[in-house]
Amino acid sequence: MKRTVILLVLVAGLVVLMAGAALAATRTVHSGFSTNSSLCASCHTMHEAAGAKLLTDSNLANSCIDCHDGTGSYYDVDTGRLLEDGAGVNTPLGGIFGIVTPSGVTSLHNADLQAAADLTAFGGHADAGISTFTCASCHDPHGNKSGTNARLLLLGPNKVPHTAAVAELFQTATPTEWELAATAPAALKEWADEATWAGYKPVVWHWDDSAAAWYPLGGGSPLSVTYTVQYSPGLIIFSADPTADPGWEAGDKLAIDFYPKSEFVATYTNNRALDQTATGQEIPSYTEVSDFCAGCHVDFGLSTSAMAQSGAYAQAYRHAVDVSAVKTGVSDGGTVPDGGWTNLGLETGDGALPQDASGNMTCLTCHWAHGTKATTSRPSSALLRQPDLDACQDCHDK
Amino acid sequence: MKATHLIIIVLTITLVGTVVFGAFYLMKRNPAETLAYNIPISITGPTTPTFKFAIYGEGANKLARPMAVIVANNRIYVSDSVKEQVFIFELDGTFVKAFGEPGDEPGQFRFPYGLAVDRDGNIYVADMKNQRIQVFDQDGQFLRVFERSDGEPFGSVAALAIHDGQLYVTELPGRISVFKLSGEKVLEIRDTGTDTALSFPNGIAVDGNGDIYVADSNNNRILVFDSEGKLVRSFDGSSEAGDSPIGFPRGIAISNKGVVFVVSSMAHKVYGLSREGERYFAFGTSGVQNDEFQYPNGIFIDSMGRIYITDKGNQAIKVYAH
Repeated sequence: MKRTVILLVLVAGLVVLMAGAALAATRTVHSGFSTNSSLCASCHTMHEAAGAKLLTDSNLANSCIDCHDGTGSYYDVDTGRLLEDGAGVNTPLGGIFGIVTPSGVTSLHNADLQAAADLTAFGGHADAGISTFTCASCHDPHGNKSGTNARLLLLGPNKVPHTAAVAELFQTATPTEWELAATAPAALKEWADEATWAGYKPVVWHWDDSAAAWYPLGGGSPLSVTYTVQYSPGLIIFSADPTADPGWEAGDKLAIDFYPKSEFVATYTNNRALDQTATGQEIPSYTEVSDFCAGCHVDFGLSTSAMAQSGAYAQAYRHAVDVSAVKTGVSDGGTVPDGGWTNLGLETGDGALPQDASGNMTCLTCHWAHGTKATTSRPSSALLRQPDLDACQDCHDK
Repeated sequence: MKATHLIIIVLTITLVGTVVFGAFYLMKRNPAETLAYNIPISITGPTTPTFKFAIYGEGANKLARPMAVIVANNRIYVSDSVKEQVFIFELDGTFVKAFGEPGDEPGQFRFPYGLAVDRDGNIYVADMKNQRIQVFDQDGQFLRVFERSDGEPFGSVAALAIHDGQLYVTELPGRISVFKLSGEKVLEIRDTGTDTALSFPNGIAVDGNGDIYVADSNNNRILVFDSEGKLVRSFDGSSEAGDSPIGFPRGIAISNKGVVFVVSSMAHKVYGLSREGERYFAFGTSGVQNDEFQYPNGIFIDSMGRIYITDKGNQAIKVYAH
């Protein structure tokens, strides 16, 4: 008995130590908040905040760039580079913002715009825009629900509804059907009355009293209940799989979030927030990253062929996205163009083309996400990796 | 007989004085500073510094994003990562000149950061994104790129310090190296002696005993190594009295009284700690007034005890004294 107790104590101690080590490994300003509140104090202050959401700075970009200028993060977005462990410097990253060191930036996603009059994106529309554009328009400084999403990208940049569109669902007369609570925010009901709601993906959560926490349904442990959410004028109906028996009772609370349907799915899992010891990070080829961009640049994400006009707001012939990265003129059977990928200024260490898991080109094949130093004779260099259309030859080899 | 004794006593005193002060002279140490450093701080602790004046630059030569500051050659030197220059001011804040320009040629900078001065008054500049250290004379004339005798390249060089003829360098995201000024590496610290590797050490200082103080920024702690690179202690500024840890310490400096000054950029504050990490005081808050900060970063304490702090967001050097 005594030996058992000793063994138990040893095992418990080991578990605690390992848990501590795990926490330490994942502790960054963007995660591991349970360690202590000093991480919160990095960006927030309680009573004398200059910015909304208790931010110490009214301009979020200032807080971000304080670390992301290369002095406090692996992700030096100001210069557009990724640091390696130790003292190395890795490959280009995301393009150059040049906020701190404006060395020849010709166009950029102006992430320090706080409330510009018109934030309509190229290829977009005011309805598809966002009221302010900051780093947090694309990135979630607190991480995100996907957990493995590199770069802390939001599920969608446009009308991100998580906090604004939560509403409790109440059980209807039909046991497996639930409807939106009468206490739901009016804005959501109005929104739900619009056809645009169909462009969003609902995620339903169940409140677990014992754990005092919300858990998403259908996401595996602890609850795996398939469901559908349907819209009818003025009403949102949630229907659980009738064959499932989640054991809920009257009074159980459900909540529903709406994410842009073009949900961002990262195939990349080497996120430093999750594994700070990882090295050799490469810029991922995100699945559906084009959909992410199209959250604002709507029309640009709709084209499937340059041979037909497309667009929700303006019709035009547009280069297709999410199509095979190699289309014409290659000499080696379809994998690498003559001379290799020489013009795109690629981020990947092995020179591979940024393409998604299906081998398709994405917006990021030709454009940087943040900004560029490429020169142009056109009105804008449009975040292109190379001057004007110099990159065309990489694929088209005319 | 008595006169002889008196002469012997005087000569002995003179000899001892000559040897002692000669040693200080050869070591380029200030005897008053050294003496003060080894006198324990009174039981009430040091007083909180008070704001004296701010330096902004003038006209086209206004500071834009001051990163690090040192005082040497009776002048103030400031690295600026936006202007990509090093500014020189008189001690009263009068602008003298700026040297360097954006680029990667000798004498040019990509994100000039840490600064240090050698016994000849030459200024060492961490040219972070060119991954090199450049050396200039006191007027900003380019002298050379600091060459390592091992031929290894530098990474993202950040904080610098020179102490007893040795150059202390932090590289991001996590390495500390010590070189002789001839370029020979004498020490490299990667093993922190803890479970956690160095994470963005943005500040380094060496005390009168040769101990190396490192602001391990992203681990929210100060690490103290002895001159052999062995971890002596670490602290985070927290206390049982309820003081929370210092978040993201950046610049670090040690006064001649042994007070460890730590700048927290995100908290917009400067903390005064004992060498063991006990908190004496904190000053500063977020704001745009003269005695407020917006993302302060670097710190330097001159031989007069004046404290110079780079205030990035307010584009200024704030000068304090106590």
